[in-house]
Amino acid sequence: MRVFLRTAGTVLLAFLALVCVSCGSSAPKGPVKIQIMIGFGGGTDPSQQPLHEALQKEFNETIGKEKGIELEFVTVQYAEASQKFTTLVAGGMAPDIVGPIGVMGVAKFIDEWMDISPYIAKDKIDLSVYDNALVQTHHYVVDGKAKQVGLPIGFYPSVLFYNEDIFDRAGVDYPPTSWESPEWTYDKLTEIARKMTIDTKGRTPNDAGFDPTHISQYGYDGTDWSPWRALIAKFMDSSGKPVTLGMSADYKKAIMNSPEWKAAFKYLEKQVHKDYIRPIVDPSNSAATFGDNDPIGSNKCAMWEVFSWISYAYEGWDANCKWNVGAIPSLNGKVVSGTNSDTFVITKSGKNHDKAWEVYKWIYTPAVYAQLAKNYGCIPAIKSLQGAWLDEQKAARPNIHWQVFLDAGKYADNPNNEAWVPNMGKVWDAMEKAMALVISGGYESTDKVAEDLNVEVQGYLDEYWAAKK
Amino acid sequence: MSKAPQSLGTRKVALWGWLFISPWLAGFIVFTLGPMIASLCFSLTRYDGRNAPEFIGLKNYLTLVMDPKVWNSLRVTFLFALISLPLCLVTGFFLAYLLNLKVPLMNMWRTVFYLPSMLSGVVVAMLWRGLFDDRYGLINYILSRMGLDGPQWLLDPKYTLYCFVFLGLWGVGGGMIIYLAGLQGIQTTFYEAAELDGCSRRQKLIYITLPNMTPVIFFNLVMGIIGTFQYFAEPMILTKGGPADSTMFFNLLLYNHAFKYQSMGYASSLAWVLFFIVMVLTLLVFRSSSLWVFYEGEVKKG
Repeated sequence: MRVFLRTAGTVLLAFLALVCVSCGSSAPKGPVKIQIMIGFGGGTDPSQQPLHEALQKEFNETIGKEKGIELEFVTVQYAEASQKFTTLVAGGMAPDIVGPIGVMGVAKFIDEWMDISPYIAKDKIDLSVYDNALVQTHHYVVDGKAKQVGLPIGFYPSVLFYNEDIFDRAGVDYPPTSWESPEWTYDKLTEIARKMTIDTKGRTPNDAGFDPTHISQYGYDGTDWSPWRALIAKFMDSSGKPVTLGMSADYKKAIMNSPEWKAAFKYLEKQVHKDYIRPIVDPSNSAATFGDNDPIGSNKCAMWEVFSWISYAYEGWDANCKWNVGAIPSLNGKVVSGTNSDTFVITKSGKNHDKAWEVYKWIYTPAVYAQLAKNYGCIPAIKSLQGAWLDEQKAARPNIHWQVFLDAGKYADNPNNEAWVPNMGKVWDAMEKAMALVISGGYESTDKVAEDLNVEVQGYLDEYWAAKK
Repeated sequence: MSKAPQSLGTRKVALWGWLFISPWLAGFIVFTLGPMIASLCFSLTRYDGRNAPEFIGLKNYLTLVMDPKVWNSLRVTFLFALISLPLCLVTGFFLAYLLNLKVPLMNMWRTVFYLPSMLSGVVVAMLWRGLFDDRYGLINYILSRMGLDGPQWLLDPKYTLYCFVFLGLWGVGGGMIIYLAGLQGIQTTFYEAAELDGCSRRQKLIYITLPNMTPVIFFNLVMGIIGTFQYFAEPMILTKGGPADSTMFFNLLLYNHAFKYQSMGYASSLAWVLFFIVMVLTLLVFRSSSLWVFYEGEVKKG
């Protein structure tokens, strides 16, 4: 018994010592720690960390010392970022700043971000240095309250990448680089895409005996790795406004069964099942269509409309094919480039908003901003930095029409294709499911897909507003 | 009658016992029992994982009863269980039976059939995604060599669930090895006596092997039920529940609500429904076991 008591006593003392060490002594007063959580978008790659470390060191040795701030970049992997952020907020340890974060990431935790408008007004931040459309991308009206959650760090417009080898083989002219070519329409795109869509016996959809079940090369792909909203953003209502969100301005009524939405589903159906220019692919499993490659790198797709964050694939394309980039065609007289845009946001749950704003301002100083935008592979949203970006791209790949990317900014979709709506996750999944259904062909009629989607989404809106009561 | 007081020695042994199991006990309380109680509490709240939970009583449970997505996921999970579980049990058993015969290179065959079950669900899913690919996959290639047009396995809602059934067979090695151990535990005297009586191989299988194997079948059945209702990694990687929710297994739906839609309260209620279903099914199997599970030396009453 004595042995037992001695052992138990030792264990108890060790435990108490541990408790004392962990929470007994309070930390000495020092600089306020501001954490920037990286993980909701770019910036997680090991090759991107040296810049974070260098910037952190630079800040802490200069502005940090002066303002009593100790900056720390904390990087988590993209797949676990949401869960980690949730846990940190719940545990009262929320990071002060989060970024780079896309519109979708912002939408997912819309209530968690501070409105930085008062700080912008107080410090008279000049917003005219940015493309206004990109500033507006991060402006939201949630439950009737407007807020600016962040300033754009950069953008990724969607453009039309194309495989020159396939165009040359088919004897088809390359797509134009001007965003204002009246003849460059989706009808024209379909026409040339049909010439470059071939089955295993070399026949095109224009030839007799074309076998749509054995297509070896596609003329166009637009849905691969792009969401439904990027497609619907091209459709306008009778007053010329885009119908991207598919709901009333107060977010209370779903209108995804509108004539425009039905037309969009029919348009998709035509491309996949009637013109055969676009592959049948599950958007959640896009890799399957082109083997282990993407449409351009596979040499099995002539044109691909996709966001410029695909820049990580350029090196592979250089090795596989001759590629270039053109403007996106117009649909019903309008040109729309679905755009992804990244920002940094200040969290509401962070404990030092004023100090976080000091760090935020530092991030958006041109010198730091330019380095971060380059590190994340995005086009800087500060207009004065875009020339340097262009020169750099031209030096690396002189044959590519880089100006097309910059010009795309004027045609950025607004509302953004990733913009917040109530019950965002469920609404998004319902739309992607409807899109996948039309692409896979497992549907009765596209009109019914739209009607069913509308009923489902209305349910999610009702659920959201009921919870708000 | 009052309980006899424990001697000092007995108490000492008991205390040491508690001390030795205390790490496990602490782990169980902190990592299993605690979270279970917490999730039961969360299931009665509206909770996004970040802000304070708001008590809403049984509303989550009432909502899930009316939620067509829940019923769909239950249908998918039960259908999968009904097809996959018996198939895996039978295949596993017959593989073990074959691998218990005296044939050359037996150790190699046993290793070959057991090896796939050593792989993680993620690896298996990635592998089968390649095999099921309608354009470049091996399955459709073989079908095309036979003059058949293979379907779009993972895109057509008519086929997706069966892909997972097929994929499940890949992992029968785990059950097989347990069956094999069971088969080798059957006393050879039974077979010798049967041979003296002139029993055929089929008769030996039905009257000796199967009855002696019922405890092992019972174990695999219970584990199979639990495993089937917890099915997650493969559909998460291969289809994410699609197309058209045709592979939206219950666990995947639960995951979506918890981590995608930030509805921890609702997800907790789904977790408790899942727990209840698995418990009821397991109890039913346990209840039925007196009718079909035989233990050596057991004397049945009545």
